[in-house]
Amino acid sequence: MQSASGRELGRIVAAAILVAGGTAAVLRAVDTLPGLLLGEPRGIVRHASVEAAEKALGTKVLLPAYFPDSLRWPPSSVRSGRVPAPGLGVQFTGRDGGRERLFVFETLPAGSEFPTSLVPEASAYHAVPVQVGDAAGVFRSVRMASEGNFSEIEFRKDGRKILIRYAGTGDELMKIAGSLR
Amino acid sequence: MIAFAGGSILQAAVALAVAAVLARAWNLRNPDQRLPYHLLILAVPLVVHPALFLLAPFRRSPWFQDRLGLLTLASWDRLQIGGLPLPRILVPLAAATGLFLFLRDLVSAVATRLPVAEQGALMEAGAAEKVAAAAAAVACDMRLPKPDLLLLDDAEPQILCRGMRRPRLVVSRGAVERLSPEELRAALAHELAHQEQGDLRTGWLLLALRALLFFNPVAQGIGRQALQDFEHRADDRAAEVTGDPLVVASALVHLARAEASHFPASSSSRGDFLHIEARGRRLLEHGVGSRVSLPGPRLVVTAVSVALLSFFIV
Repeated sequence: MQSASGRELGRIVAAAILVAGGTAAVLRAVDTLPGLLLGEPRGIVRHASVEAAEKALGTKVLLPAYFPDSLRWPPSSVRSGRVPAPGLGVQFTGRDGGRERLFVFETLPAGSEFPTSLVPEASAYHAVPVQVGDAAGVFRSVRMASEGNFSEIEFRKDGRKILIRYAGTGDELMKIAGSLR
Repeated sequence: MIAFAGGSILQAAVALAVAAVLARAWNLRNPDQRLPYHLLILAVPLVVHPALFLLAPFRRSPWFQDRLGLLTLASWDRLQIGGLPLPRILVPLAAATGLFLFLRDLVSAVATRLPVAEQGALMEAGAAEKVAAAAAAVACDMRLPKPDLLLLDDAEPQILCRGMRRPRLVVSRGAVERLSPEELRAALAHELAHQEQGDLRTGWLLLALRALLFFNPVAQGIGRQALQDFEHRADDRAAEVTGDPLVVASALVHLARAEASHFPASSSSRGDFLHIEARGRRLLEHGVGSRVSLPGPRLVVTAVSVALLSFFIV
């Protein structure tokens, strides 16, 4: 008798686990719908413009004052993320259209990590220390799986961590980095 | 405000889905056993959500929402219509629906459940004696004290229990004329069952709780379901007292038809009629709902599942 009710209790708990687990999976799937519709991973928000991003984040976005003629203004995308720390990514295509040629990633002041999924994966095959104004930084040559070879420079400015990735010459990248306002 | 109301609605909807699936899986049909599930769902927006909102604010942090959240308003904020995030449009719409449902039931409750004054002509003595004798006999069968009756000489068919502190059974001439003696007995047993189970008082309490959740349409729907449970419980009790679910179903349908013909233009009476037909079908198809074993553990397991899921809905 006791084992029969024990078995029944087991079935009750199993049914609840199954239903709760199934519900959790469905909810998580439903929650990814906005991301799927927008083509952005979970936690990444696309903004209509730099001004809209500044309004949403409540801070000014640093952008290069030196802007090579080969790049097209306005940015092709302005995206922000919040985890592990808030940050922003601004991308530019070339004048001829097509693929992205300049990426500017920045954390908010005092931020130390870029938001997950905001910075595309890249493997570095060469790195040297450099000086960007008063700040020490690292210059790297990287290969992005989808976009090809880029040069990038990582440094801190106004308390923010900055990463600029550029498909162009190293000299131009240094000028872009030095002109960040 | 939007975050609080949206979270409340989402958590109630998920609680409803989980409880409904489990109740179906366990074949939970007895209204006595279903009622705690409806109250449990109501407790989610009423107790669990405010408690989590106040005691676990870290759930609203970006890290929690992005990494652990199962369903988050923040994800849906990214979808915008005319520059407005989707939740800022949908949550107020849902809140307006909730308010409408609450006000509709409030008006209906005030009209049908408040105590009645002794006004209008009273039922003719011969008929009144018969009704009083039938009511006394039913009350005796149910081991209840002799009911306080108000017998009205009114053609509108009504048998209902009114008043909270001093419940009174109101019976009209119209109802007596349309029901057979067996059906009258069943209808009286149904109303006395409401009195026996304290449904009038609980109904007002339920309405007060719904007032706190006026913005939550899911909670409003669940409040209505709980009232349905009261009706089903009273139907079952009447079937038990009369020993014949068919007579209870027949009394319900006769009264509803009579009321519908009395107010032919009323859409609410048409709705009520459909609802009463469904109650009649329930009695005839399933009889008095059978009870499942281990009701307590089932409820606890459901409550734990619902509370756990609620924690991850922000």
